[in-house]
Amino acid sequence: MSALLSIEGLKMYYDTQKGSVKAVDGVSFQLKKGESLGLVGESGCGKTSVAMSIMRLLAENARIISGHIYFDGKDLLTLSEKEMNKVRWKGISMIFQAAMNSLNPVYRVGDQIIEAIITHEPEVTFEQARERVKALYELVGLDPGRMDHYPHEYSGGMKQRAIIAMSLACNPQLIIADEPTTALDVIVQDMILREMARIQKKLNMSMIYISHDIAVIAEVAEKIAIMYAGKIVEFSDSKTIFKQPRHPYTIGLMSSFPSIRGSKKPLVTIPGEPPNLLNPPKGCRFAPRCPFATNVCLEKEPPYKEIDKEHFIACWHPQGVKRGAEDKDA
Amino acid sequence: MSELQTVVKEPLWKIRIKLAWRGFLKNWNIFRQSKIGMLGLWIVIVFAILGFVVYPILAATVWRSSLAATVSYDPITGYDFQKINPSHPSLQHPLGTDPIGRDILSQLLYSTPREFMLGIFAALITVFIGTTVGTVAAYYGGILDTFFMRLADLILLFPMIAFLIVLSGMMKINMIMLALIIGILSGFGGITIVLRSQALTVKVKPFIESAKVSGARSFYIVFHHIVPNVMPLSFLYMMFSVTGAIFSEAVLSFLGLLNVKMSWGLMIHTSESGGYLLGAYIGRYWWLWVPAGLAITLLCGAFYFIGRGLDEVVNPRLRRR
Amino acid sequence: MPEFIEMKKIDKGRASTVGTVVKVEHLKKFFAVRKGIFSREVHFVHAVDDVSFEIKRGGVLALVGESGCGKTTTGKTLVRLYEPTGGKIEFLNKDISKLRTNADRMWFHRKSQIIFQDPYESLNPRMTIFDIVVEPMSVQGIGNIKEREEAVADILQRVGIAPPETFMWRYPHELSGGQRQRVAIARALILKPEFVVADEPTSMLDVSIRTQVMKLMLDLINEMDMSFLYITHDLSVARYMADHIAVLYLGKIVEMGEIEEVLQHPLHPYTQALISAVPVPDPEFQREMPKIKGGVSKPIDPPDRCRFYERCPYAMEVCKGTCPPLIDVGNDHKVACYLYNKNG
Repeated sequence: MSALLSIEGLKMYYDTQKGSVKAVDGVSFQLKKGESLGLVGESGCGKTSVAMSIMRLLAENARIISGHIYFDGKDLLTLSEKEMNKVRWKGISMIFQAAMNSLNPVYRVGDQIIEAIITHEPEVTFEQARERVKALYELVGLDPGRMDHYPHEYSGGMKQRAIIAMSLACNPQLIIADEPTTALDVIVQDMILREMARIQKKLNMSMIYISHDIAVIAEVAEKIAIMYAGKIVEFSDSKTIFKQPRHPYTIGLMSSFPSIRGSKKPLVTIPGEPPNLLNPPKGCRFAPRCPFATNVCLEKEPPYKEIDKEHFIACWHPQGVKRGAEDKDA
Repeated sequence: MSELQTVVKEPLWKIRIKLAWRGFLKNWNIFRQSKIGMLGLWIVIVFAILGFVVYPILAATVWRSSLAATVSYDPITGYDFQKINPSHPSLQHPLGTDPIGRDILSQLLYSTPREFMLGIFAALITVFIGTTVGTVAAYYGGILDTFFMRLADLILLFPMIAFLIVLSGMMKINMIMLALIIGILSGFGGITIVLRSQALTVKVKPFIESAKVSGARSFYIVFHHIVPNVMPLSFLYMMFSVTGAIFSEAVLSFLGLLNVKMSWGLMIHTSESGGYLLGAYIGRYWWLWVPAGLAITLLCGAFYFIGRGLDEVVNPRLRRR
Repeated sequence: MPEFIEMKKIDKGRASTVGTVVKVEHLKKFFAVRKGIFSREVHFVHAVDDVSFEIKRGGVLALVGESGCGKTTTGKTLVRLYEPTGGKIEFLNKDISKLRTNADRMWFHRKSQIIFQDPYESLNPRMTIFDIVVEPMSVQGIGNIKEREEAVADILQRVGIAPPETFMWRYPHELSGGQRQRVAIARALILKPEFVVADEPTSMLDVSIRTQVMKLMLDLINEMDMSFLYITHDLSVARYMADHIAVLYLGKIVEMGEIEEVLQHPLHPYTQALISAVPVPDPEFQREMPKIKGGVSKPIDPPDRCRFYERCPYAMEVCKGTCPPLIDVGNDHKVACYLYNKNG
């Protein structure tokens, strides 16, 4: 099966007064139809920048240096702005971070979704659009009677559902959800995540979840890409990432995550802080924080290669299959 | 990261001076990039040099008057018996003379420091009152807040020039009093409202609560936390107040309502009351009003431009990257 | 070479044998609100409604709940940022809801502190790190300049802002989020307080930084023998930071007890739902669906019945009566639910 979305060697820099910030520096991955991918990383690692590059919604000072983004066979980076507009919403739609606060407070929520439909599909009549929104409301678990309510009459979870309905409005093949549940309480977050996973399966859509929270990603994504300082350091299916992580950063991230289930394992801390992307370290970007780093890590950048079937990693010293770094230390 | 400094061994005051200097340099570097701000600054510097340096030198050398001379360059009591006054610009009088034979250039230069003093003194009073009242009203709220805000509304609605005209009828107003009046009026007026709203956004910040939990009193919080955070804005408004004060002075002395011996506004007033600004005369006797008018416009504009430049320092959002 | 460091656990046994630092009895905090702009009717949000708990010396009580449940209000009332509407707060056996003299006030503020969530907003941007950290000392008038300098250098070193001389004269914007939170901790601990309220101190930090800060706080709690009220919405963080837990729902404690006991055997339907909603970082683990429905409402003039009534899957007739009291079901485990109250 061919990939729906295929990114090859994407580099995107931000120009600032002090130089260029290498926010995305050589990212490649593929996503098949009907698959869900989780993009995990700490703030400033470039995960949102990847999404913005796919949507071609770049800030004024952002520049795509090189790379290709193939979506459905077309290279999005070569399309004109007009052609790209056709891809947005109908091909790929995006749920932005804190999107639920971006609903316009003076319009009815239903009307805002109808407007989105009519803008992107001018041939649809108002009545047809209304019917479609009704169906969408049912799909995301909202009462269609609420279409004529204003945003302030919605709770946080309901707003998020409305945003999901809006992103589904033009039947996209791919949805990118940037931190879709960050502002929500756990119980609502859980409901929204379940809803999104269910809809994705039902409509056989592709999905990219972006989050800093590994646990959230573990629940919804089939494939996981771990990003660190503008690069993907490890990529595989979620089971492999969680059971047999090989990159020291992934291992550190896993074992620094507190869990409420099972025995109370000691948490592991990763020393130091992520590098400044204005001038990142020369070799491996994780090397200064890595307990397994050797001279080669500080000198040469590790290649991003497949070490197992569909398991990519960028590391000179992939760690053992056992989970947890403490085993290795002993 | 900026460059490191190892300073723990030094006395505290030295460190503070260094920090202030570093902060100044940083802001200066931002300000420097604002063309309009730099233009304003240069104009102000030129005026300052002319008023504070060039005039005293000229007055002590070329323009030194002796009793026997037929020409005196004194800006207030000067005369030129050799010419029909007002006389055209000439070598002796680069900007001509006024209707009673006084040298225009010397009047212009003599007035410059006084305009500066007036503007800055009035602005300092404005900012001092505005900052204190604005922050105190914002922090304590309640009846104090209501009182000062209604007072500010009242002053905003109040036609200041008209008020000053009435006031000048009742008492003799000199430069210092004018600065006081303008300073107090605008201090309790619009600037209070602006600084209060800024102080309100600072008041709810968690660092204020941190200070309270440490046991800090209200007075301490207002002057250690709120005032420093509204200070940049106050400074910005100070520049705009200078413009306002110089302008008000010009209007009042043009109307001949001020008890001052010489000022730019008064220069225009002199020629206006002599009938030299009527009809076609206004073009014929241009040197009577152009220099003073230009000086007023330039200096007012210059302080406003500096304010615009400072705006970019104070509001990072306005900066171009 | 940097190392992976293990996180310490709290010595649970000790906490129960020593004295009480904070004792809260029937604490209430209501806020007046108006419904609509023109309405003159005054209503009350019962942000904290009859809450009682105590924290032992060296103990950490986690206060958990969804947003709007009153956990921050409780914390702020405890350090006297809010005036309590009712109830009693005892701090070292002294009733601090009535601090009459200035000396008493300063005494209390010397011994209690607060750490906020947002490291970007909780440090004054116009003050240097030194001025921020030294503020509690200067406000309290403790030490001369030399002693203050030393104390600041000491505490900065202790929280991992090292070397202190290079950071002391910087401004907050020159520091990263993690470093700022360390500075906030340093500031809170410079006077060696007996009691600290930590209001979601790690929720805005990244995963790798969060663990560092959690470890730092645990080390400091053990070392300085402080009592903490740790406010968080994250049960898994609470599990690592605290020895006791109180679950808050719309201003009332619904369940309380030793942390492992409550997390492993939750009794209240709300606690059960909260626990089952926490995502598990294991793709193979199948969580059961939380049974409750709807979202949190605002407790404006709430009727006298179980606050959880509308969302509870087990709601009974008796729940509509009066609010269920907090009863001990053994093992120091308390729950406010008629399911466990045999006498109803």
